[in-house]
Amino acid sequence: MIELLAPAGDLERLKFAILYGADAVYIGGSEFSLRANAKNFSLEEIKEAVSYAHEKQKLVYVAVNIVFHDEDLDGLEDYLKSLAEIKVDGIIASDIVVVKKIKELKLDIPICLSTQASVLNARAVRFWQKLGVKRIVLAREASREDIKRIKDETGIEIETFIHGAMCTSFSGKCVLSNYMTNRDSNRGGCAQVCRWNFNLGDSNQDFFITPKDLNMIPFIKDEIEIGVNSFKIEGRMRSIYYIATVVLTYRLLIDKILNNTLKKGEEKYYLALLNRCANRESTPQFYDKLPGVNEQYFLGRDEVSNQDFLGLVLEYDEKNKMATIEQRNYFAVGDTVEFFGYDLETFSLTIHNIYNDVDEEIRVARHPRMIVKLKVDYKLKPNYMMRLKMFDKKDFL
Amino acid sequence: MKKLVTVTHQKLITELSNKEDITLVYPLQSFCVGYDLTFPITEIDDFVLVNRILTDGELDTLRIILKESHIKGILFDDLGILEIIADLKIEKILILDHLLLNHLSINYYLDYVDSVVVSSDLRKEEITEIVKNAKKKVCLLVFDLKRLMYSRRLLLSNYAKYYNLDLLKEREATILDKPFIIKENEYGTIFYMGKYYNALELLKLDNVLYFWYNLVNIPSDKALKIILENKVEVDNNQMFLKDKMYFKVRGNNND
Repeated sequence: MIELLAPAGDLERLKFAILYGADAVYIGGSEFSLRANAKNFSLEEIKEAVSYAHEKQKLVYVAVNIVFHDEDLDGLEDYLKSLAEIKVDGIIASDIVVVKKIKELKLDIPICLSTQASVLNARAVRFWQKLGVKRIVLAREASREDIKRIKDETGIEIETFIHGAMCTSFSGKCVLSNYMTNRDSNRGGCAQVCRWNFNLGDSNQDFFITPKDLNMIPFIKDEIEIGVNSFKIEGRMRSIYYIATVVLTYRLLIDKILNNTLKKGEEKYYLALLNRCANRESTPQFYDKLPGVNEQYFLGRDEVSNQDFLGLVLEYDEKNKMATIEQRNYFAVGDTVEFFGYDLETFSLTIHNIYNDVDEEIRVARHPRMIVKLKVDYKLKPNYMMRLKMFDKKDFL
Repeated sequence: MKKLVTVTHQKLITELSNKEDITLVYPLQSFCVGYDLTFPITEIDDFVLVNRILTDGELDTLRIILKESHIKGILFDDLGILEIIADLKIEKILILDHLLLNHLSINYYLDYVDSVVVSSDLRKEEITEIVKNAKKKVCLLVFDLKRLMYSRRLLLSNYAKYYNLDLLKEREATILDKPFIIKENEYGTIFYMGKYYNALELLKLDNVLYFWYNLVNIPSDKALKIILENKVEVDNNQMFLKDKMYFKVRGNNND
């Protein structure tokens, strides 16, 4: 079984991740998780999330992945016991104290070692296996050769990141944020100083160390072949549009690889889709080489605000063929848009009429989250999405 | 009081090798990042430093190198090293930079090694509590060019290549007037804090196996004054030792 693992910063994102094809999601609790600025889940919400996911035969992993100071240890045992009672499907840990506590308390929860532990070799994996770790998220610096040897020698379940933001540093090996802002990077406060510009003093050029994002589209097949078990998408703070697009794209790609139905050129189409919904460029990074000039930025963050997400389908009136849409970005009569969904073959249409919530005809949908109606001949379902059409799949095939 | 001193100048060897309370730590050639001076294993008869994250291929090489060596101890960062030194009768000290931050975790790791280096990311009160609660004697950094970030990327080379500049393997940098020193070798790039980490006040603590002086980029005469006389003539600060770090792990879920 190849697992597609998606991030979920809150319950809404979790539901979209599952709806759009994730086999599992990872979430952070309001305590002990490394994305302190994500909304995160209370224990009650974790319970609801697990119940929702299990009903759909999906899994929920909970990140307990801060590096603990003594002052953080209070409450850890109770928290772990609560997660066991809720029957979460795994705990993602980076600190040995979490791993040991789970075993000492005899809790029946699989342990996944976080990428924060920066593991790059089979010997370190064996150390953690002996402590009861069932799965490992390797350091993002792992090459194909490293991953293959670790899998061959240890047989451990391997989870690798396939998409999203990268640290410049080995994860866990950075306290730039602590130094610059007094915000503790290993306890969820990372200020992303590696995306700031450094001044070299004697040089006219600013010194940037910001990596481009990761995408593993060209190597998914290869990773399946060398035994990677779980493909992880980064980004617990990303939007529902980003989650839906990235999860659906990798879902389709993985399924087509497994079914041997991937057509020539389709990978390029998927890559184009992913590039459209991201705000940074992306590359495979460390898998096939040591990243060089082409894998990072030199002229600032170079991020673009994306306004492709035009609307979310709320309902569809089959009799009148009218879709009710919640607007997310400006669109107007004459625009050519695309609808995509978890079980929908993507199609495009040119907008001829827009109606507001009292059925008056309007020319543009300009107000965030305004409710509008569009004439659409194809049957739509709630939570399908409408985006700007930028290219045609057939151009890639 | 026993001291570890990283060999950052040849002169430190001649001046310190006969001092009973001082153990020299040699950065091992090809297995360290962030040091200008490294040594082949044939030149090391005291402690060796391996501060890189390693692949299995590199550990294969390291295993052979260490097996034939005459070292008395090792300071290391990668847990994979534990397996290749299991049979060696040497003193084993785990660094695990930035990750040894509480007494319980430290005590768990102490089941596998002779000692650990308590992280210098901690405040003095936190370090004191850990030293008190550790089940074996621990090591403390007392003067250090503090490592803030370790990247596998060759950030200075990439910069030089992009702008078609001569490559310098060391640069000074700032953000908002906060200084950094950046060093690169073929195994990666280290960002150091631009001012020295001064924790000499920790010398008063008991239950310490070694106090570690890691005096990168300090001229040898000034380094010797720090090691032998506690006399500091370089720009230093105590930010990590004194300042509380903030984050958010508790509180309103809807923040």
